[in-house]
Amino acid sequence: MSQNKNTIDFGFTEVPLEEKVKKVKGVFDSVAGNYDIMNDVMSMGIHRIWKRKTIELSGVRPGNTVLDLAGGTGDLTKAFAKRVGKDGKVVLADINESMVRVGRDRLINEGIVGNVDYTITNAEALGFPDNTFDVATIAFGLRNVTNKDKALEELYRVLKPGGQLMVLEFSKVTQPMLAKFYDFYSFNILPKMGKLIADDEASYQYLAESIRMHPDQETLKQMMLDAGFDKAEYINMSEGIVALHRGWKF
Amino acid sequence: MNKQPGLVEIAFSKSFEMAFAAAVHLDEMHGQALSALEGKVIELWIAPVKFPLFCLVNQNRITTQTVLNGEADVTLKTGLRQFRVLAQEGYFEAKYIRGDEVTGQAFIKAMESLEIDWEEHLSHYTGDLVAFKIGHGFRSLLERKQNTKQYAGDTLREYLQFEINALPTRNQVEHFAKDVQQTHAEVEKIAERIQALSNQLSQIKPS
Repeated sequence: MSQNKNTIDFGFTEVPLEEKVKKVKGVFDSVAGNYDIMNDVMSMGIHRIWKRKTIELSGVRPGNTVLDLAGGTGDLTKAFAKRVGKDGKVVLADINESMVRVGRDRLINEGIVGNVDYTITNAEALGFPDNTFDVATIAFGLRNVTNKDKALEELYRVLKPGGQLMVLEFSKVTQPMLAKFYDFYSFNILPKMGKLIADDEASYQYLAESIRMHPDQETLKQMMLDAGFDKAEYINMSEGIVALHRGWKF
Repeated sequence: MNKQPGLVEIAFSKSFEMAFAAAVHLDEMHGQALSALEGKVIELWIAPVKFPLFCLVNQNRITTQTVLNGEADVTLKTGLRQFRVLAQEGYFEAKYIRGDEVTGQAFIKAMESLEIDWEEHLSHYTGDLVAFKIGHGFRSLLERKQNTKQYAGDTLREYLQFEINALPTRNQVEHFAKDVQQTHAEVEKIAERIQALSNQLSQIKPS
């Protein structure tokens, strides 16, 4: 977390608050085209299990309205769209236009049409009325948000009473030996893979750094409660490499 | 609060979803059989698996998950074995538990009309882990069934013997058998004696 109120972390470096959005945009503009391939390579395919577990736990049903914030290339949107059916709605929202375009093209190519809306929006100022969504998700996106507290408040606002927020995000590894290996992998192998596959070492260096700067499990849980959620809990996946935080609005 | 699904649950759910998707893909009618179930949720309990599988039907497709917000439209109970029967004989047996019976019947009918090689899909997609879990579940179930049967038999026997004396004990039966044998032997002896007396009597009769 940043010590100075006018600056914020961008990976391990401090940047002026207003700069982070632009810099994050730069990263995702750069990686959008190879994002899915990189996710598969970086996580050795395990991100599919993390996402599937998120989908299962969402408990969505036909007719539900779902917000997939920072939805990127649409993995979760695709799964939710199949579940909510024609009477439901999924909104794929992302601050990055390049990612939304990739996601939209991909879903249309796969025949997912009719119950999906696409929007470019800032998580800190969601353009939706209060009490709109049954379920909201933000998968691997919260750590890139400048003001996370504000984003959580906004997510709380747009949830219907009884609704659930699911935050899937890299977190703090709970197993010491794994943590050492994970650090080595993140700072030595991951950027090299980024260079090899996406010809973009810097962006993947940022991804590794931003993961370390993200609040740990307990901190994020408390942030959710502070944002107004009536109940919050988390589940560690893969020894805490990733955590799924869930918050409810009653 | 929803119980969180583990890897086995996720793999199981995913396998069924892929099997349904493959069946609809290959179906000449493109899953038209599912149209009667549009927007419905079917809760399936597939013995010996100990968690429910929710089948969400939308636009002639079935997606599956192990957690659902709210209630399903209908709850059915079946067994893994029934999927083999379905594949081999085209007959799907599921017991209605609660909810909308018409939806339940429509689901069974839809299942019977879709051609799904369940065995192939389950073995292909669930992998060794789930295959082992399912096998282990089956074996445990059979073992428990055997133990339960034995236990129930012993309890019933003890109850009948000692509580209401409706059944004899082993000793009583042995004594009884011995008594019967002894009586039988004595009856035979008496019969022989009667025969002997009868013979003597016929010899005494004046000729």
